[in-house]
Amino acid sequence: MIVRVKCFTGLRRYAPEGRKDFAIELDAGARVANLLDRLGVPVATDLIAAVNGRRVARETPLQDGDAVVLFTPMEGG
Amino acid sequence: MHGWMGKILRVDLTRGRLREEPLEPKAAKDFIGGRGFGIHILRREADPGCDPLSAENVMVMATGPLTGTGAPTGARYMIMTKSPLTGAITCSNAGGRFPTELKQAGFDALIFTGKAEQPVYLWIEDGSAELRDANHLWGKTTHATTDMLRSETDAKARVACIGPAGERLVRFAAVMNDKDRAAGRSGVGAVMGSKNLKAVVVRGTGKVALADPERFKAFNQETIARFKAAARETPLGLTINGTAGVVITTQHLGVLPTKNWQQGTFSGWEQIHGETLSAKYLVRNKACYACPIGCGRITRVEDPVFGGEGEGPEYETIYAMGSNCMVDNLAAVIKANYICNEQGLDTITMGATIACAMELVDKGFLQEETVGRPLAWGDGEALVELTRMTAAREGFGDRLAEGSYRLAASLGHPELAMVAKKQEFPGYEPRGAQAMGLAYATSPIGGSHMRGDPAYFELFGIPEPVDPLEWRGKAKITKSFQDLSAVIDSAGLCIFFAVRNLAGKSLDVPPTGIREYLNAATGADYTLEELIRAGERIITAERQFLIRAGFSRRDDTLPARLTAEPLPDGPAKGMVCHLEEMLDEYYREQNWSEEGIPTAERLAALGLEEEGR
Repeated sequence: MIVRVKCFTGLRRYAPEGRKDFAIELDAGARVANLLDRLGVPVATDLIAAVNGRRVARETPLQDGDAVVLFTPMEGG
Repeated sequence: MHGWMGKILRVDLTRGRLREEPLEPKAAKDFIGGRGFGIHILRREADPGCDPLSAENVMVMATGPLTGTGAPTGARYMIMTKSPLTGAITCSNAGGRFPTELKQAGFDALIFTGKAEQPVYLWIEDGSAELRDANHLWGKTTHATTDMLRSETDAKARVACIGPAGERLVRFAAVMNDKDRAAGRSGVGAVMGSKNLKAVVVRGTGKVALADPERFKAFNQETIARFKAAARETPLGLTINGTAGVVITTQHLGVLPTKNWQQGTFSGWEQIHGETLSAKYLVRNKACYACPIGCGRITRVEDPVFGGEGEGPEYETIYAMGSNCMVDNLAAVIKANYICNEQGLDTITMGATIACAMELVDKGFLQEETVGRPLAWGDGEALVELTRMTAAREGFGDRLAEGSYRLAASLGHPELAMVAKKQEFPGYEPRGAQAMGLAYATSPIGGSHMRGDPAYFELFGIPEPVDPLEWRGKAKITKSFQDLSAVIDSAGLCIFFAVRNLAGKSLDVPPTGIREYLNAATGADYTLEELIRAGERIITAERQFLIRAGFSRRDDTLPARLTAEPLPDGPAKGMVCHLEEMLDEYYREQNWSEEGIPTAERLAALGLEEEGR
């Protein structure tokens, strides 16, 4: 299956060629954690994953065509 | 004393008299400093029923014991007074360099009473102080005022001042220090203006003495090393994109207030977020004294209409003037921000009031002829022009200068003002972050995220993620964060460093690292229990002030839009904020009555049974 991924801020460095927006092919049944593995994001990295506009846990299974957004949480004010 | 300088300067503006007073050691320990000193002084000296813009109001500027010590982000001071926007207490804080300079000049706090007959400024130089004529500064911008004052006092002096907006008593005028740092909220600048106090100028060459310099240094090195190691692992978003980087989070969690809070996501978000700011306008970042983060933004805009150079914008400005007004032109937001800095206005209330006016026009409750110009959603030129007119109280700007609540109420539609206690909200939608609604409703200063910020656990996952849409069990965590905030605000630290690096990693966020710094700096030997108790004491004393000013449970509320209208879009679609359910639980956590009044038992336990004024 193919999912579309957008990486922001500190996570941009894990995107292929530093691209903000890219598509990636994953095995059927892959979870968010598998995607992070593929991108080489260390397990301890503080991040938020949103799939189709909803914040999800790393164990969440992905579906073909999902839009995944990855970003580091940070405070504002 | 150590950590504390041990001296307070009292300024009677009516009589033009200055008097130095010693800081009482017991009050220092019980109320810590900063925000705590503010309420400790106000509860004894200010009439909670007074007109905030009259000579009866009292204004306190107070640093914390960690301000100027070199503790990371120990750079802050707090301005506390009765607010002309809310009628409640306010505490508005800022960093930069001015607060440290005030301590180096020998003072923990300044108390201003009365009203000067003519415009004056206070000049403090290493322990001595005098009031000077400020007629020649009246009408000048904050930048011009700062430059003029430095040239007539000392080139190295630090300045906190008001701009034309404060002089004209705009209800949300800010006090600006070091030109672009704002004690922005609740109209502290209007209180200064009402007292004919244009500026406080300080030059200090002293040092803050530490009780145990070796222990302080060792803990400081350990803390900074830990901070730097973590930043190498995950580069700090706050350093890279400033607070503006938060747009990514709020947009994707559906809590980016848009169209005067009618939506939780903004289609134009990519044009106003932190990466766009960095790519198009950032010159460099800027840090306050002793800050390893540097979230400040020095920016430059090359644009025929919106061009300029200055500081900002922060996330809150981008929400209030950007998504909330549906303005996706970041250059326009930045221009309006520059005007606010130079004229001395709070960007949150300014933007939110213009958004409210846009909805009033959209719904037909306000005519464009009254405004004097077109005012459609997304109109960046209107945003800039109305900001300028508000600072000058020119034309329709005179009505905007009263804030969104008074504007909407004067047109018969107070429900369109997105406020708590008449103060406009910061940029986190409570329908998609339930505890945020509780924090807004119970904050002593009205709509604010800085008196206990649930966005940390609901949106940023600090110290651990908590479901933002759940309301059960949120009261306890919110109270813990409020207690922590009271300690941070009183110690003289910045929330951006302290929550992540100086508090325990559990949801009750004990102020463990702050305690270590405080004890090494002051020698006051706080137990963790005593420090948490101090936070509770400060919050409860503020609550007492509000009760005496006539506030009660009916004021701990949110607009019906947030509690009764389901959010129409984004991840939190269909949600309302379950405030009433959380409120009962919250009062129990505080040991306040069902009406939100601190119980006699609670007051006695905190040493607050002695009546204030």
